Amino acid sequence: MILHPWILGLIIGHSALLAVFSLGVINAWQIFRGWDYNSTEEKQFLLEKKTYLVSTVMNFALFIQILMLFLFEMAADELANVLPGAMCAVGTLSSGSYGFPLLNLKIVSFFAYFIWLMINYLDNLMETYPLVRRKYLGLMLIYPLAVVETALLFMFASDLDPSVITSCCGSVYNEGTEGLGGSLAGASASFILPLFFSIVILLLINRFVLNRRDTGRKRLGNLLEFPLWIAFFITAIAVIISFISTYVYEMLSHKCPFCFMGAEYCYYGIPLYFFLFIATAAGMTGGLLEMIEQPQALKEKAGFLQKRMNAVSLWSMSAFIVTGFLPFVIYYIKTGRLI
Amino acid sequence: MANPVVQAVNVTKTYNRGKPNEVTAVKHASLKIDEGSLVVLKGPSGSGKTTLLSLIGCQTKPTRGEVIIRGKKVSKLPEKFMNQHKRRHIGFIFQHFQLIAGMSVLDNIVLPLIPEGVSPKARNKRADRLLEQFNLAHRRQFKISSLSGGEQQRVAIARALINNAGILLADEPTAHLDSKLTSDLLDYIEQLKQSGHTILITSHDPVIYQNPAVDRVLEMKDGQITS
Repeated sequence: MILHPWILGLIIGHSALLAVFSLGVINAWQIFRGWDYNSTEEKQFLLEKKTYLVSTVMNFALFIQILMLFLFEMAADELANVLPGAMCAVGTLSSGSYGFPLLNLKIVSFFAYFIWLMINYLDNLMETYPLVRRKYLGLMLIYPLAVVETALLFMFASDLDPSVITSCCGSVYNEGTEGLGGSLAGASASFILPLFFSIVILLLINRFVLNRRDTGRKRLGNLLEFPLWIAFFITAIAVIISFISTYVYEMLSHKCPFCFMGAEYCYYGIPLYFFLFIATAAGMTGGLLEMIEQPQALKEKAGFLQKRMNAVSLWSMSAFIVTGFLPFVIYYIKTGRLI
Repeated sequence: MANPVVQAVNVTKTYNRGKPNEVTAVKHASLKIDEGSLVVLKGPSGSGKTTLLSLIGCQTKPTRGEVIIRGKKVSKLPEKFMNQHKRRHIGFIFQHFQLIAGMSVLDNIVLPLIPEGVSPKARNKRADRLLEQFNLAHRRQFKISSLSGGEQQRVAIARALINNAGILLADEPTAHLDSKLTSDLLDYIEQLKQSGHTILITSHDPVIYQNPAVDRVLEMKDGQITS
């Protein structure tokens, strides 16, 4: 399977990006170690030139890495055609031991890369490179994600076997099946919906009450955003599987979070996931920006970016809720029934 | 006490670092230029005048040392901020004028205002004022290639002034001019000095550095400022 065009494309893409990332990290280490902004020596001028190059290259590399998440999903969906038993991406991901761990890692990486890109953007708005050492430390910290991602991709690819029958989404996301998929599919709407909306309400209270008060509480409010958005993302995925999917497919037994991304369902899942990922990434970034305190000029720019991130997260969250619950509303209007 | 608007502190510029053709064009040069003064940097060809002017004009960054323009350490700024500072504070007249031959006089003059986001109406208004000042209004839509040397020179000065920069740098501005055009240029430079511009000119032309309007003459030799 490693020579399948999709797999080959993914492996070449990931390997090339990892090579670029590795070069970026080597340079990031040199900058991190030798950086002294006040120096007027040759070494510092070379590092200043280098940081511009590394920052530009990493912008490109991480942006492509983010797109790779969607490419990976498309590849998994396409590969389902050659794996017996697979009906959609779920079949491909569950055909070996590495599919879902790779997908989960890619989701974590998506958020890590997004946050790094925003911090890099913020640093590039400043004249004095105030975040250089912190952003390159961050780059070195997220580098293992790319290494493990590439390693997992190789293992995933070599593990795919078209002669072995795999599970379809109907069996993975079935309340009778053991494992996370089965538990999520079996989760009761009366439990998961109140939980999800509690987090949404907490986010709104946090945004419109805590964040509008005095500075001390505003800081607390912004710092709370990060864990709240993680909780929002996790519960939103659970809501998609246990509740939204029922109304998209109009079948009680079909709970797949992937099938509705295809043409058969008018690519419904694409905007749904787009809003979810953007809301979470922007919300988490907005929360983290609160930690930037010095110098004052940077704090002001960070505050401005934070406002934008907060607005993007709120609008995207609203769009996610509208998109997600639209099938339910349409079903109710059509049938007059809740289920 | 006069206020230095241009400062170079122990500036060194080396080209092709670590290669066989490595050249250190400027070595540990330091200078201060006060607001409203006219300074000439003289020296033989290859002495590093143009490189020093390029460093002060934010055309390139030093290998070490510091260039400070209007209190801002421009040599430490990231490229985009350095260019922004350059566009706002420095006008540059190049040795060969560096005008774009296929474009009109007006388009050449307003060029530095485009990245600043100035509206076309405001750009043209500013350009028209300069076209009048330099007696070029009748050539507004002419292509550069159809202008005489003297007219091209005036277009180059107008372009250097369009961003209302207080600092004007000129690299060997009389190198390719006859005596009439040289004299005209000196008149313009004197007028600009009167209007408060800070001017730095590189030249080895005695007509320039012996001119009574010049406040200071600095001499360069082998990349160093010797006097």
